[in-house]
Amino acid sequence: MSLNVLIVDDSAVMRSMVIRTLQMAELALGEVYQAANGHEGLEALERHEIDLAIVDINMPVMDGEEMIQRARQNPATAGIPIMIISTEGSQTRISRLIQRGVRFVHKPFTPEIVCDVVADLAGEAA
Amino acid sequence: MTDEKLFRTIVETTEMTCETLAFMFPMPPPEDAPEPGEQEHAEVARVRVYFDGPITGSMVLSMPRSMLPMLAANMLGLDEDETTADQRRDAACELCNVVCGNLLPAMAGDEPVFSVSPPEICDAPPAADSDHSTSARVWLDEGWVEAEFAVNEGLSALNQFAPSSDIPTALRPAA
Repeated sequence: MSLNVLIVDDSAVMRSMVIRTLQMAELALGEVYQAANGHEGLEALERHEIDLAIVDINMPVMDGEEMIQRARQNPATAGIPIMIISTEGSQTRISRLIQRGVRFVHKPFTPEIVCDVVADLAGEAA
Repeated sequence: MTDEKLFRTIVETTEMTCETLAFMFPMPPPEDAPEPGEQEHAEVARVRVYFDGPITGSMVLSMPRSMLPMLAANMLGLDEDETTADQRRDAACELCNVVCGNLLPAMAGDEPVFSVSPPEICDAPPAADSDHSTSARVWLDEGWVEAEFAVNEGLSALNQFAPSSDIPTALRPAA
């Protein structure tokens, strides 16, 4: 089974870095969709069959926390595994997000950490 | 947090981010290294982010424009001449965003929630709008990066959340 991934980050360079990291992982990567903010991310979640969403927190228009909250409230998207990649440093906010069932990777990240978490989430999605 | 500790925090955070994000490694400064502020304005790229939380202010990240192709190339896994102007600009913005995102909890502790603005290219020299700033330049194998951290409001909060009790004198309100 190939893994369809959505990457939500307002930095095009960061989205490319994440894609490159995923290509390094030994995964069967399917379609990779991109969005530049939480609003676009929600639209992509509803429009495509997404197996894993990788989301930044600090974005214009709609931030990642609001996007995740809305995704979890929608039965059609509530179960999609989500990984946050962010510079967020507040343990208060990180704990609140982890309680919503997401995994957290801190920026700047190493490819190994991202690949490990993606492999875990891909196992859950399978 | 003393002035020296603040300076070291900026240096360590900037070095760690450059190393992990862009594979640019710390080096001793060259013997003919220009002093901060000596480089021609037009030769320096600057990116600014504003932050809002228990402390409010901005951070400006400066670097030689000649370093941008290598920065983008390293982040994207491309050759320098394959990178576009947009990618070079975006790479500098993301470097600034990540340095600031890591600096705030290092300075204010890991409980406060901050809102950080999208990074933007700026023309003004660092800290033109603040009297309370401190900066550090780190030398890298590809050039240098300078981070200037300026606080406009919330110095007492920095005192409250910082691991040690003193507000750096560089960030104290002018007498």
